[in-house]
Amino acid sequence: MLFWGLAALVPIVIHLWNRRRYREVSWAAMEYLLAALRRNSRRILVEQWVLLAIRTLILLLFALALAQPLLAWLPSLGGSLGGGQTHWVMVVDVSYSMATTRDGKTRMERAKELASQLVQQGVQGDGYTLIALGDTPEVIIRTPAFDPKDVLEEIDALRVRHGGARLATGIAEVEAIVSAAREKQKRLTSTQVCIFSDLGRNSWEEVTSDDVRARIGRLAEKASLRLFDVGDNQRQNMAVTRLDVRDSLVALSRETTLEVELQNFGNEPVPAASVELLVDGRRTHTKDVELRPGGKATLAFSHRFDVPGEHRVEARLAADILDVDNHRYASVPVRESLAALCIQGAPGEAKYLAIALQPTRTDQPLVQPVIAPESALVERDLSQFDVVFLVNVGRFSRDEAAVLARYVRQGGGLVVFLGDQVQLESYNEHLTGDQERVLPVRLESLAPTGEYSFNPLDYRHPIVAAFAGHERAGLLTTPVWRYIKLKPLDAARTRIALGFDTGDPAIVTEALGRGRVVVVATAASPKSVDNTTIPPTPWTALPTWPSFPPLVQEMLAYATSGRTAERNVLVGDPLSGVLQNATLAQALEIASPNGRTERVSLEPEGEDATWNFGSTTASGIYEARFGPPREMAQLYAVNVNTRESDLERLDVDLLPSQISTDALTQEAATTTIPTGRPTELFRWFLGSVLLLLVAETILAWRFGSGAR
Amino acid sequence: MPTPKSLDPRTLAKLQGLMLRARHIVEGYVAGLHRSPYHGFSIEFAEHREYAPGDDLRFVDWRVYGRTDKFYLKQYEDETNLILYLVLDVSESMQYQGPDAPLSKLEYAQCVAAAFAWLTLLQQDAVGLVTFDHQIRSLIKPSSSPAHLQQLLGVIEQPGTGQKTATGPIFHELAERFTKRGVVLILSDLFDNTAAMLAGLKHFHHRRHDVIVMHTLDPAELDFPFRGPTMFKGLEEYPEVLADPDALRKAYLREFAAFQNTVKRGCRQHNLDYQQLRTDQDLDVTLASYLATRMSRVK
Repeated sequence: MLFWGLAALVPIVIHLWNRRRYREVSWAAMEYLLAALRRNSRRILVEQWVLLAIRTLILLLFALALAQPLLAWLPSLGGSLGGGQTHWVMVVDVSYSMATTRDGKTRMERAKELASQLVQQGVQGDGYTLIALGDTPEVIIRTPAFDPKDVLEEIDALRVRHGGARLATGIAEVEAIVSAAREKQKRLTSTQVCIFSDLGRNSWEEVTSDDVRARIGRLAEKASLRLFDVGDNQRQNMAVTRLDVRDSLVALSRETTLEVELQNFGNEPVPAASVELLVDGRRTHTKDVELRPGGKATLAFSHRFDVPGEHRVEARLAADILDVDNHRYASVPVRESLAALCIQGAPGEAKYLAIALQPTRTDQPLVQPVIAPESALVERDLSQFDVVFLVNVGRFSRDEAAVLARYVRQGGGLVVFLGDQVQLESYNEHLTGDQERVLPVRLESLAPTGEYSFNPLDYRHPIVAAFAGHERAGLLTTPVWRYIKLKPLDAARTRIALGFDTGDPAIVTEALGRGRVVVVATAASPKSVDNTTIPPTPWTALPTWPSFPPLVQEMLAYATSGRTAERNVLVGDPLSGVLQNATLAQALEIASPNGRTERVSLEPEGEDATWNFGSTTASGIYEARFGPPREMAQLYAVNVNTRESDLERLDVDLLPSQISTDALTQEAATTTIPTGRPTELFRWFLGSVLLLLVAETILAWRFGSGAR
Repeated sequence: MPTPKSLDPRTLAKLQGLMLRARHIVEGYVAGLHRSPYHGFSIEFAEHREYAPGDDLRFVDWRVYGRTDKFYLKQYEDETNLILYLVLDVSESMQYQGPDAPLSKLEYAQCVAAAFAWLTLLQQDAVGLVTFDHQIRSLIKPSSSPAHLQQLLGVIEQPGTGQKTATGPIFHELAERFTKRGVVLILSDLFDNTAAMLAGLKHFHHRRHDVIVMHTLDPAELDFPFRGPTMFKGLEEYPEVLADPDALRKAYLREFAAFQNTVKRGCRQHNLDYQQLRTDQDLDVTLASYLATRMSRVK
């Protein structure tokens, strides 16, 4: 802009030019002209100088008025004064704490206002980059945009994500963008990184780590860092931190317990926090609970689902300053009945198991066990069954192993009871291979006959959790005389649900693919006996013991949970599923809670098709709608990670010194881009130009021919 | 009646040769002329002439009328008629022709001089001629012979000399040379030392000449119409001057008015006739206005 100042030379050049350009006339009355010149030369000279000075000043002031906004900006932001354009890297925190309201305005709205203001105050030629700082940084404008209108539109379109914010990855992204821009956009001579955030501790505590500090140090060498704090000191926030179905198997027309956990993240007590439970959009229960500062409370709601199928459940807290975490959702598929295939290695082996699966005689049994011989593994379509029990099956062929592996991968449940017919080598060879692993364990060897008892391992595993506090249920007294020693293959993934007092595992579980596998080290029927002793010793009395039916029911619940476990995820996690024997022509649409519907394409996986949906950016219920020929819908609940519900702020003193916080104020409501700079001065310049123009006109008229 | 067009300097400018121009003026003017202002200066009776319409009734000889019942005018001796000395400035400054003027000052003055010469000779009065710059360039003694006109016009028509003016010494010299009393008609822009010039004029007056100063000026000199930076190239050995006419106009006009006032005041003081000639002005206006003034003074 200062180049415009050169325009001030124009009147001088014109003046000099005019001295060279003149017309010539001969003149007789020279004496009188010379006399006039003699008497007036000084006055004329002064007049000419005055006019020249005024004209030069007009252009000079005009140039200053044009240049002044730039001049005022650069020093205030520590940018270089040498001209050139600025690359503005705007990083906007989109974690859901930015949705906190104050005086009817969210922090996000305030951040957008500030960012827009910044763009509007920029000068021609400045470039803008926009990054949404979330759990993963989302680069909205990567290569610097030069049209402020586009940038303003993008800023306006920014929305709070229902997640947190990761500073470390965000800073790394900024560093990459700044480096690339400096290389490609040579005319952007200075870089300003402006971060708009509420300085939430959860997002910002990473700033104290050495890694992030080093990154910020490196970044500060290339750019000026500036934090626009849009946060405030409000902390009084409550959240629904958990909504679970206590019974792992929700059956039709039975009482089901839904657990809701609340937390008060504020530092003031809440005498009566009101919680509503909504099932399929209808309010069914309301409860009030007292919450201490920082305290948690768990409420149990009992509900009976009368219709089979997919149900949406929502726990809702009364509104507070942050609404996102006042809702928690669950997708509850209710089954009319479960199909269980019990494959027995010998006739009668599955008898006790069948009884345990269906302990009461009713018209509408929950489980309908089908007992079949080993050959059923390849003869029957396993996908019809929710769970497959293998009871004392001796050996497996390669085909049978492949069938089982595929069944598990697709989400089927598999419970394996061992016994006296089990051939360890066959199990280890076909079921624990690297390619088609079905079992979580290797079968090591037969434990010597002796008296063994179960160790519940603090009832941590869901299979045995129900026994906690019920010592008389008989789990600990269950006699076991013989078992097979199991060795977990993948210590990180397998879980030991129950152990023996010898320290060996008794029940081992693993989530394999989408399915769940349970291996029990001992037998499920009294028919398994150790013939080496006289009289022959049975492996265990478990099938006849009172602990057996509940243990089987819990194993059933665990094994069948594979197909429903993926229905409840956190924001950012993908939704996925598998369709057995489906063609890729199968249509699938995912309806998001924000009203958007997206088509999802299917990927082949063997004879099946899988799908994956990664855009879970908002919390709520997502509906997967399968078109013909399947014609069905599945509900998925996506919830927020309530880590972000804690509105505690980072201590400003912990920020690295390279981040300038001069716009930081205690009350964010008053935070504005500092404009105390001389916009007034710029007006004064223009005003002076106007006055001088008027003065020039009058003087030129007076000095010139007009007056004489 | 004079047709205005015939006396318009723009029309004259289209005519070639002074003879043609002078005849044009005289014919255009004489058509409406009732009497000559130069009669009456003569004192010796010569003869009677029959009255013709347009003659001044003052000169009717009532005694002859009483006797013969016919109108006769008294006519006077030729020699004793008026002598007109035409004094024409042919210096360089007289050659100036401004942007709005159809004729240069000299050309205009030549026309006026020729017309006066013609008119005067028509009246059988004597006309003498002097052209000068810083010295006398030509001098023709007064004569009333009609053939004299050809000689006069030949000299008047001569182009300017491109020399400086020196009016003061010239006027003194002429005052000494014009031995017979007469009318001295000076056609000049008078761009010279004013005091010396006025002293010269005074000398004429002292010699009892009747002096008529026809101050010949170009409209550009009177109005200074120039705009924008202009290089003024001085005539008569003046230097070049680059000036902004807009800034100078007021001051120049003030200076020029002061010069004119000085000349006018000087003429008034010595009882000389002063007449300003603008070279864009119709000649009949010039002649008529002058003759009207003369008439009033003669009475």
